[in-house]
Amino acid sequence: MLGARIWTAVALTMACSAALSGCSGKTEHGGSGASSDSTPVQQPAAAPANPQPTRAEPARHLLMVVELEPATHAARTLTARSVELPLPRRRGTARQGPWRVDVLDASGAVLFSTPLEDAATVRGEFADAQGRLSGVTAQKRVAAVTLRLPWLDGASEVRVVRVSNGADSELGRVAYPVVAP
Amino acid sequence: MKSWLSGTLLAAVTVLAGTARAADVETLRQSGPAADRFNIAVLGDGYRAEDQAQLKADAQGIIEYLFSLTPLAQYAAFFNVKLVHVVSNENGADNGSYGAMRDTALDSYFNCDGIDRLLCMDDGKAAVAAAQDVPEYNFAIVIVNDPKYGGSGGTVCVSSANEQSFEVLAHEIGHSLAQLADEYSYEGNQPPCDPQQDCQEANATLRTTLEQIKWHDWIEDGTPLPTPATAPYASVTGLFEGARYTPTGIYRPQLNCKMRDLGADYCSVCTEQFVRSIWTSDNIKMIETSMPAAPDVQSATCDAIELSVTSPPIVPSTYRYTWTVDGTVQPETTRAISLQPGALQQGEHQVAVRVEDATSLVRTDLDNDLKDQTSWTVAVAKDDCPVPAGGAGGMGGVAGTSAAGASGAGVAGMGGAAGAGGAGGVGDTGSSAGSVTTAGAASGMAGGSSSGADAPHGNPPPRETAGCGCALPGEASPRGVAGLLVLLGVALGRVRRERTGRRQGRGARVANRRR
Repeated sequence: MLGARIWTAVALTMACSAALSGCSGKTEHGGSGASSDSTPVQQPAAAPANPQPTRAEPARHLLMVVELEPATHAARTLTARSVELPLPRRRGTARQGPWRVDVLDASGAVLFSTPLEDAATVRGEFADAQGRLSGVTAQKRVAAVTLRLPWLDGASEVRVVRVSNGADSELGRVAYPVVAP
Repeated sequence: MKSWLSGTLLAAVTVLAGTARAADVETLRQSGPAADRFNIAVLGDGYRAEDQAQLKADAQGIIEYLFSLTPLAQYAAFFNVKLVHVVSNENGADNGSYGAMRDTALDSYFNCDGIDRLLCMDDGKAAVAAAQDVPEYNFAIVIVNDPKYGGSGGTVCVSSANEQSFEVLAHEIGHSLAQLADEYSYEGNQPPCDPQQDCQEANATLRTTLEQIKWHDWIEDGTPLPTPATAPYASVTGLFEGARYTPTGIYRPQLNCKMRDLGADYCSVCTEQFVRSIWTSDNIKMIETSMPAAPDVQSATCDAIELSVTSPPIVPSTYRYTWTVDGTVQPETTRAISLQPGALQQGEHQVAVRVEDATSLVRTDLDNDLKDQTSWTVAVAKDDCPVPAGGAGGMGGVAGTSAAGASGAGVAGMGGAAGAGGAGGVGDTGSSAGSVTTAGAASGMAGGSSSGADAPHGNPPPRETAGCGCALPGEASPRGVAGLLVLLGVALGRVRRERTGRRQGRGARVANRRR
C-alpha cells in the first residue's frame, strides 16, 4: 500500500527526564562518557513480576526503536508507536538474553523487564567453494533495539542493560513515551 | 559523539517528522491473524523504484527456499511474511559491485568492520522501516540488491541478492530462530561452554557418555561415542568432535548439518530444536481458540454439547488430542467432542483436552513445549435427558481416529443406568429412537469422517445434529419400561459389535502412531 501512513494517536511527548544526565543519555549513576559500558545498574530491592497493561485497552502495546551507543551510554528514540495487538507472548520457559530492557517509574523502580538479544554484535559467515563455513563476529558502535513494551501507568524511562553475572551494566536509557490526550 | 546525542526531545521530534515516509507493503504469506502468527518482515535495500519487481522476485525466491526446508515446510502456516518495498536512490551497497559509495535507503555496506564480505547496514533505519510498515513484525530480513556474496546475522538477518547468500541466510535463521550453535571451527573468541552446565545450545555438548548427551534419544544402540567422522557414519546421529568454533573437545550430533556446511539439511537434532523453538516463538499458541470460549458451559437442554479447539496447521498434521471427562479418557482423538447430557448426568463435569504435536521430528521435549491443554466445566441442568443407547455410554464415535476415520465406537461410556457401554455417538442415528440397529462401529466410522477435525482447521467443526444420542426432531424418545427394554436390547446387541469396533479403532491408532 503506497502513500502516507497515519501513525497512531500516540503523540510522543518525549520529555527529557530529570534522571538523565543532562539528557545526554548517559547513565544515571556514573558513566560520564567513559568508554566502558560496565556502569553498574542500581537495582531495586525487588523487581516486581511483570504486570498486565493497566490502560483501558490491553490489546495494544508500545513499539519503540531505540538507538544505542554502548560505549558512551548514549541513547535516543528513533520511533515509538502504539500497535493494536496484544504484547507478543511466548509459550514455554522464560528465555534469558544477553541484554535486557527495563521500564522504570519516576523513582527508578522496575515496572517491567524482558530479555533482549545483543543488538551490537553481528555475525558474518561465509562458505568456501566446498560449502564449508567460516565465521567472524563484529561489534557495531551504534546498535538499534526494537522494544515491545506494555503501556504502563506511571512509567517514566526505558533502560537497556547488558546482563552479566553479578553486575549488569547500563547501555542507555530514554524517556517512556506519553500518550497524547 | 554524534549530534543526535544532544537531546532526546529533539530526536523524538525528528522521528515524528520522519514517519511520513511509508513504503509499499506486500503480503507474501498470510497464514493467520498477526496476533497468532510469527510475523516476518522482508525489506529491500539498494532497490530503486525500477527494481521493485526484482525485489519481489528475490524476496519470493528466498521465502520459498526457506519454507521448503524441514521443518519450516511443515510449520509454514505458523508464519506470516510481508515485503516492504523500500525504495533507494541507487542500487547496490557501499563497497559492493556497483562502487564504493551508494545512496541507498538503509545505508547497506560491505567491508563492515574491515571484513570484505561482511554486509551491514544502518540497523536503526531498517528497524524503523519495519516498525513503520509492518508493526507486528517479530523478525526482519533485509535483502540487499548487490550480486556480491555477503551478509550478516544478528537481530536482523542481512543477505545480498546472491544465491549462495540465501543459503547462508538459512543458516543464520538457525541461529536467530532456533538458537542453534555453529558447528564449524574457526579462530574466534567464542565464550567457552560451562563445564558444569554444558553448552547452552541444543546441538553442542561437552559430554561423551550416552546418558549425558542431550540428544541421546537420537543415538541408536551400537553407535560409537565419539563417532568417527567417516563415511559409514555420514548419516548417523552420534557424537562428532568439533563444534561451536572448536575442533576438539566440543561435539555435534551429525557429520554434516546446515549449521556446519552450506547445502546440507538441518540435522535431526537441529531440526528438533527448530520445532521446539517454533512452538515457543512469539505469538504462537498451540490452542488458538476453544469453543465454547468460556470455561463454563451451561447445558439447559438435551442437545448435544459440542466442544472443540483449533490449533495452527501443521502439514501433514501431527496433532494428537486426548479428551477426558471427569478424568476418564474418551475415545475421541480429534479436536472436537460431542457430549450427551443424558450420558453425563445432571451436575457439573470437568471436560479437558490435551493437545500434543506428536511429530516424529521431536523425540525430546523436556519442557513440554509440544503440549498444551484446556478444560471446561460443563453443568448439565436437566435430569431427564434420554440416556443414549447402551446406557450412559454413547460418548464415543464423535470422530474416530482422525486419519483413518476408523474406531470411534462408543467405547468409553460414562457408567450409567444401563451400563452397557457406549453405543456410538455422533453419527449414530440409531441410538435415540432405540429402534434402529445401526452398528456402533459403523456409525463411529461415520462420525470419524464427518467431524474428524484434526485436519486443517481454522473453523470449529460444524455442529452435528444427526445421531447426537438425543431425540431428533419428530422422533420419539424412549420412555418408560418399554423404552428401557428396547434400549437394553439394542445395547446388548451392540456390545459385541462395539468390541469389534474397539479392536479396529485400536489398530488404527497403532497404525497412526507408526506413521
